[in-house]
Amino acid sequence: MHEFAVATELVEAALREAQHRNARRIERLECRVGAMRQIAPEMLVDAFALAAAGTMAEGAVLDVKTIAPIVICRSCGDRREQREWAYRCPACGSPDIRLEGGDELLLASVTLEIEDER
Amino acid sequence: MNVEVMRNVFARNDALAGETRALLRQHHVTSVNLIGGAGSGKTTLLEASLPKLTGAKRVAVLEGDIATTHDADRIAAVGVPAMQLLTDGGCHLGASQVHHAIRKLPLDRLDIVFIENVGNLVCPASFDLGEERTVAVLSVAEGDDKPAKYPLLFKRANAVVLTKLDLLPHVTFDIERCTRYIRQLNDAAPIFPVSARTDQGIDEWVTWLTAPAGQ
Repeated sequence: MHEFAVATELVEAALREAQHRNARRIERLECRVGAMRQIAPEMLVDAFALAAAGTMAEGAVLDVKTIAPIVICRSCGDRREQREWAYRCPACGSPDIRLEGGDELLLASVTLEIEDER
Repeated sequence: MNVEVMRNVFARNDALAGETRALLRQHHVTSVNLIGGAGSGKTTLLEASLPKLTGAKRVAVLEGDIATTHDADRIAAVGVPAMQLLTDGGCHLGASQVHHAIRKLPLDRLDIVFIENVGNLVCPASFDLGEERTVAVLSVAEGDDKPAKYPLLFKRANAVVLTKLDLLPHVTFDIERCTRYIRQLNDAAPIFPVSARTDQGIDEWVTWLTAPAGQ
């Protein structure tokens, strides 16, 4: 249950960005979450709604993009994104693989409603 | 207005962890963050390792727990100062809790600080506490597929300790398969199969702890 810690930090980072740009409201946040983080997107969205309540981010849409690791096969050299946790090379079946990435955890962007936006 | 941020979500935690790391380095203190499931044998591993360290090294332990001071009491019983960090239900230690605790320690009179994290294979893996070495603790009773199920911890670990090796005849645990899963995530981390009960492998693990980082 680390979703709430993530949600709190997302709100904090978005508020900082909003203040810096004199925004009136935060409309949307996009975060990128590596599959290895084992963060449940629905739980993160629920936690975000709670963490954002009473702030400029209240009611904002949280868009969670899950990032799968890249599987690199040491046997056949195949290299591809793998959504399913097969733990074998999807091309040749070898267990001699290496997983790269999938541990990302980023606030990618925020959409702000700015005070005197003309 | 759409603004690109591309900011690490745990930037605040990691910045504070960086301060802790700098403080510890300044005082030439090595720090070890032990992460493993509840009942994986983290405290027992410390009980078996600390007596072999205390002859040459000055050691302290920060004990992270959801509740009770049982673990800190066990460490104190082997003659090592222990500070209990209670999370009151929280599933992991964060950098700020550890930073405050580290600042209370007599760093000039210490060589190694162990941080025993809350028993959990998922959440603690996401939080840098400012340690020099992250160690994954997995008992053979938990199953050899755990690195595949909890990849973040095993990817991040600087070493993996496989505990309760004396139970191997009684459980289905294939060390080779477990090693393969670990190597899919982590090329470098040494793997120490140990038994605190029979003392098997404890010396190798303690040697690693006292060797300079990166070995």
